[in-house]
Amino acid sequence: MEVSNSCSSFSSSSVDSTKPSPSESSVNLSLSLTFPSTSPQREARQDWPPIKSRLRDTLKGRRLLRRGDDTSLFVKVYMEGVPIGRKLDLCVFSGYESLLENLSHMFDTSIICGNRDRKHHVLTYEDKDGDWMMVGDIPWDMFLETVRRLKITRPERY
Amino acid sequence: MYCSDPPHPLHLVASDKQQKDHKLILSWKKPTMDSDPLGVFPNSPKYHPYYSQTTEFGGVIDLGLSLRTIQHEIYHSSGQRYCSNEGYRRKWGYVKVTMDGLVVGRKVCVLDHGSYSTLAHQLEDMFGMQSVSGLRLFQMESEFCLVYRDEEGLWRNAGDVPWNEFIESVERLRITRRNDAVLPF
Repeated sequence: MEVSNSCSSFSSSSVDSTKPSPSESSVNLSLSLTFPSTSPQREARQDWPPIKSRLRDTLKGRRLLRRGDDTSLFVKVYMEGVPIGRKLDLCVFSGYESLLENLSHMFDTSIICGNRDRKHHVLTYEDKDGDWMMVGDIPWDMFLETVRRLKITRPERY
Repeated sequence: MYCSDPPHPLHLVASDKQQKDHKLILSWKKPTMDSDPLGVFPNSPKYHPYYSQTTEFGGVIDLGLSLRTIQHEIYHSSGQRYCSNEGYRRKWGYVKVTMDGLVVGRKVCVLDHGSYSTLAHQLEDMFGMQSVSGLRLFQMESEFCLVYRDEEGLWRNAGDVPWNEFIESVERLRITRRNDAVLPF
């Protein structure tokens, strides 16, 4: 009886989805050929239908979707001399000015970018290629595309 | 990045069939019991024989999971993102500049300049304080010289070719000391 119900369910689904008639009969033939060979032991397996792996891929896709939509872009921020780092969502800032203001408040220090100064900390970032660059040279949108993490460097080292 | 990750076999199937619809539709080929033309799905015992044979036909079953469309969209959006990333350098004209001995590099837009002299001025502002007498690029008495990596990956001396040819082929800049330039890279 269970086999019959499953067969019926698949048949209705197939009929609804298939448009040409010849393949419809082919579908029915396939169904009738495969199901009698199913043994009770295989029928009782836990991983059928294989939703577990697909659900995992779907959830992974949702995370990618969230990243793709640019709704959040969390990056690590380190300050030289401070052992504990922070994490920051760059998408909440409108540009370099608000980023610097927030970082200066977060780390309680004066931070600049774009120019080298002997008295202030300088903000640098690691890009996709693994190179450390000075923050502020490129447009903000381009910066969001390439930044991997941030580092606040001491004045005398860079 | 996630773009470099190999795509899931299901995405490969969708990509091969070039389906524009978000919802995958059942499509059947001539059934062949032995062959696996796509070679996408592994012969895993966890799959039910019915399901395995169906995939061998090249069709995809829609099990009714509403999240599949999102998964399908992700593949295209990530592809688009990858393409847009490639075009960034050509679109903006920004190239990296590094100076020997310095850890942190800079970026300059070569399209903002019309000649080597204005580029030298900007590099002077960026890196000039590293030397007492400044960079003085393209000058005879300077201890520094500017080299660039072209589209073929070769390092060349900046200033040898006309400016218009330079901005078309430059991919990276490097400020090096003049005596170091003699050494092969």
